[in-house]
Amino acid sequence: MSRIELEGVWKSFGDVEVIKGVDIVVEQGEFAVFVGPSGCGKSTLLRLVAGLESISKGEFRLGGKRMNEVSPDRRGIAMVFQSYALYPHMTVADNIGFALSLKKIPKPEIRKRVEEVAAILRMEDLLARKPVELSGGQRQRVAIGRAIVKRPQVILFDEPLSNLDAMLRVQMRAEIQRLHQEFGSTIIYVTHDQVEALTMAQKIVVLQGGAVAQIGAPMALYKKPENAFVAQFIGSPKMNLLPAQIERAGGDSCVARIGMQAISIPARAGFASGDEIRIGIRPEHIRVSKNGQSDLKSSVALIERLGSETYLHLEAEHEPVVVRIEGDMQADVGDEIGIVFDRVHCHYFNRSGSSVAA
Amino acid sequence: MAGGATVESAASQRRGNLRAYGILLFISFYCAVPFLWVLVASFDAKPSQFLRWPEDVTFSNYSNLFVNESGMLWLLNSVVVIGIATIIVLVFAGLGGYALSRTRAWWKAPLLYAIILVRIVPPPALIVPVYKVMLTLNDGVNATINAVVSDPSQALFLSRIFSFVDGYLGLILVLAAMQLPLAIWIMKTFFDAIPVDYEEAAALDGASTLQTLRRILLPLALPGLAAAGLFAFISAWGDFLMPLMFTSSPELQTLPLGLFRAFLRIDRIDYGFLTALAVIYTLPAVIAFSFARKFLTRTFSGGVKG
Repeated sequence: MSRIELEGVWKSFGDVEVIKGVDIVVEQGEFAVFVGPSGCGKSTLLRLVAGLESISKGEFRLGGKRMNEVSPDRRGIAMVFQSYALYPHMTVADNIGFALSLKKIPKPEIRKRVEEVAAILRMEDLLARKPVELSGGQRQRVAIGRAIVKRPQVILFDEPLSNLDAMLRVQMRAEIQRLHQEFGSTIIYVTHDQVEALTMAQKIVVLQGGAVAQIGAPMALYKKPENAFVAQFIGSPKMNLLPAQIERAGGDSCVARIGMQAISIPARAGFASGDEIRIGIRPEHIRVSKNGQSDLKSSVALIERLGSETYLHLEAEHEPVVVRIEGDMQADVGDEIGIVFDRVHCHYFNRSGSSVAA
Repeated sequence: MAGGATVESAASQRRGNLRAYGILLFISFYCAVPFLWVLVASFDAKPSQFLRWPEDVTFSNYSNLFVNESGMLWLLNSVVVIGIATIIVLVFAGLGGYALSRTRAWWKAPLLYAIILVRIVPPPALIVPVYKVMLTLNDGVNATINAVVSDPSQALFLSRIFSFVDGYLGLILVLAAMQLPLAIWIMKTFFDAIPVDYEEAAALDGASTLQTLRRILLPLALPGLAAAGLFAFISAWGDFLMPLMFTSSPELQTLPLGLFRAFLRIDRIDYGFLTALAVIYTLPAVIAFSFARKFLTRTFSGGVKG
């Protein structure tokens, strides 16, 4: 009974509209990630679900019940704050047991449940410490422990890993996924990091300027972005977007012009001569021409060698293009290189940024 | 030659240090002399107005203060009046400072400056209007007491407690009002530094407003309350003008007034009595400080990632 439905939700602070008519459904037990650049409203949306902010317009339902007017503590929702918000004057055990002690649960029972949670999070030896005596990763664990001890239907995570170093982040990512599988709670996880979104989510909600840009499974978003924003936001390095103009349309293929160079692309229903479009292609779907035949001529601006792969930063018609190559490649800055696009993986966006379907 | 230069510079540094410590010692002694004199003279059987080691050490100055004079009454009056005033200041500064810290209302800044303005105006400038207001209120209180209570001795007792002029209540309120602005500012600034995340976490944990206040905010605010309370207590404890203006009965006399009036006695100046009184007058402030110091130095950190 923990299906989350947001229907036509608006939130404004004074005259400033932060959330603009959002419709989102998160199924029971689903791990949903809200992702977007800073200021897109993802944290505000989370606070609306938690009840820390009131909804200006629209409805939030949890398990089919309207929750707009229900106070935060009665929603059955737990939240892990970005700042952790551990009570500094309490020990770890008191922090985790605080919610239970408010419910007047007997002390032995509280101790038992706190110890259970501590065992799950492998921090039995930390229970007597104060937050100031913990490392960042340990504080993070306590914050999660405080959330799960209540056995909530829904757990909200507000950028929980942003204060941790890279290695710890990978470790905690796995830990949170393990907890999700173990408890089966519905999870909404907010992050600005698309890698976190791709690796953890069952469903990703991409937000842009207070509205939903696209909702879908991670690979669906990666492979079929509905607009240029999602195309560039999901995936690292981001998708190349090359401005082009349709020169000739009709038949099975058309000709588009990128700067001074022409490239043939499959015909699309909406294309007409003179249309300005953007051609999107991911770095891994471009290859360097070896036989002299190429779609686009470019020059090498920068080479990043990572051992297992190499990123070529090229410039074609004054536009930056990134190409990913397996292994190493011999090239120097300034070299002229011809590149070939894998047409199957090309995306086409019209002037307003929407994807033009085949 | 380099070794010689090092020895020379070390010697000159030692000389410099010696001079610095000498000057510091002199300044410290100069500052400490009045306190020393008060303390030593209070145990001297024949104290003079100069600092000297007593020929006979005695407690008679203190026993005289508490047995023959009304020292105990003055002390109790001071402790009760300043103590209650400090508690009032803490309650209102805690709640007011919290509200002012958290509100986003447009009138926040103007109100804050208006509050501190009360503190900027020199208290003597406010004496006349405040006295007028208090006198008007006083008439109302006494009329009510006389209407309700018929027994004159009972009426006098109640009037002594609840009167706005020449009563405990008036003095307590005036002293609290004088200390409140600074205390509110201290608490407002203190709450600004406590992230709202704690309260939100408590709300999600299911804490009511009262529970959040008692179990989260109050423990976190203790250092701030200690600072605000200490300033209020010491400042009110040293206040001479307000007790002088708002009390006249000897039964209501507080320590600073007792000290002042003892000094003004025309027959003679009893240094033993005056210094014993001064020591008693100083002690509570020192005790208050050492009590508050424990909280002042206790800072909380580590709850939220900075």
